Amino acid sequence: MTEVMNWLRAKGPGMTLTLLAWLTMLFLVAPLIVVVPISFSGGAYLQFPPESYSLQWYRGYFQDPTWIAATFLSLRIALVATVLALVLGFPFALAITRGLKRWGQGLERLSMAPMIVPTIVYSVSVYSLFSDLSLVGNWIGIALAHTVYCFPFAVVVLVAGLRKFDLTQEDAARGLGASRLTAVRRVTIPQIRSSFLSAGFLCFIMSFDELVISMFLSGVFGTLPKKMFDNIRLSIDPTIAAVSVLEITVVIVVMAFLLRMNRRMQM
Amino acid sequence: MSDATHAKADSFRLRAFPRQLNPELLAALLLAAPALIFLAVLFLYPMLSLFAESLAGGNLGNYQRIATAPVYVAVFLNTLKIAAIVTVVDLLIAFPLCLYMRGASPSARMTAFFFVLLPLWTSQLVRTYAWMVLLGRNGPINAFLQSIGIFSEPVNLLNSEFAVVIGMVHILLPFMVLPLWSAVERIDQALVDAAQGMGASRLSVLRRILLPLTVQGIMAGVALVFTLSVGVFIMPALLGGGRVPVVPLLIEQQTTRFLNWPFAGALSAVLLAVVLLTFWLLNIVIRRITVTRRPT
Repeated sequence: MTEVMNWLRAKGPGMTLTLLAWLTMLFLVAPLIVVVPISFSGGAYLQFPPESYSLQWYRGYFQDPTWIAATFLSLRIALVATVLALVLGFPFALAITRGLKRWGQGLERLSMAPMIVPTIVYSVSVYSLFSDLSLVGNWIGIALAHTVYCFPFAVVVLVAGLRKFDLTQEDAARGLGASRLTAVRRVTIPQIRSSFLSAGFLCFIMSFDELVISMFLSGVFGTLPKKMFDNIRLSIDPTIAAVSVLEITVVIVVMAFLLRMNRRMQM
Repeated sequence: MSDATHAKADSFRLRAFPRQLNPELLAALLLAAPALIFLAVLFLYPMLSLFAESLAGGNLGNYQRIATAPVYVAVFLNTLKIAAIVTVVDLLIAFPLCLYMRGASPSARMTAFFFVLLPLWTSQLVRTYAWMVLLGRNGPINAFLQSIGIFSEPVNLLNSEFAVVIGMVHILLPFMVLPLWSAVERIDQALVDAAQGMGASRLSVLRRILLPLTVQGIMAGVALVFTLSVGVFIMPALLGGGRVPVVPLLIEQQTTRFLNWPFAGALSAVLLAVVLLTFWLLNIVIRRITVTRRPT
């Protein structure tokens, strides 16, 4: 131990920081790496490292209609919630960055409220409302509640994009005879496309991964996170590891795609 | 005209201004209206009716029950304690990481960002499951601790406060790093160089330059992580194995097992009050710090 300390001291504080940073990155990524070998495990129960390898858990996922149904349900909910959050969030972001100079800040803070309220608190409250409207057990109810949950994040990203955008360009377009709407549609939106993409991706992931609201509102059927939660609670068989690896792969692919899009747009 | 009449005319003009129908303002209000109506119906209304229900008939019984039963007070204190531990640990991890990123090459910085963001994009359930594997009896952490001779036999790390804290530190770390980084990024290297040039030790550079300049980022991260961790449900439910009582679990139990919605409403109201109170207190601290630090 003392040798390590001496070596670190000799290398200076940069080395200590680097070491700490690498440890942190290991901490961040270790759980994601660990599920990969498990998902290919050949045994009948959870074991690390597995003694033999097979694709049985992937087969199990794809052949089990309840897993597939849960996946498609979550995809549908996430898609609807994302579209709604963007459709409501973009005009709102435009309003607070343009016309509402004085009220903008207050409205922005107001729109952040769903972010501060713990999801369990919101779930309990929206359950009462939806049971009156008989929306409990209906996927549309979950999609609406997820829209509320995603909305602040959509607004944060879109507002950041709009603040960076140079407003004089819109004025120039209007000076050249474009209406306000045309200016926004043909000048502003194409230039903040990357903010749209990030906001959409963020909302989609958040809704797709959301457990607590879905747990309260879903009734008998279950979204993918609910199915995973029940699965972890009841039997931690490695099917969930296979699902995890599939999810992580999709996320990495989409992240790489977004980074590339971003870079191309900046050029 | 005297100054007084000038002032009067100005104030008149200012007051009259909003009365003219400003088309810009009107358009902006129309743009914001759908979102505001949506939030009013699906967020504000259910929240308010939940709190109204918990007070049904002007009855404070539910709140009395929380305040007087030692069990519930203990659960609240436990929730706050775990949130505080998670926040402090995240800060202690995030600060060196941000300093490293500050000094690193652009590509190393990108890598670090990727590692910070990747967990943010992956399912919380996936990560919880992974921690169950890592911390399990036959998991790699147990194997490692045994191989270096700390433990002689497998230790159950799961179903404990330790497991819950680790899982929460992991999911909330990005929320500490991001605000902190935006403060660390802005530190002027010239200040650090000047201090070192005049013989300041590393410790005093940290204490007298780096910390004061990033205090806003620190407080923003602390506020975010603390308020988020008070509401975390998944980790206590799965990694705590029923041995780590926190308020979100209590609320879930009251609704699904005891169907006591008014009491769940009261618990929710108190939890929300705790979150808002923390936010408010931290805001005051931030404002006080930034005001006294401002050069005169």
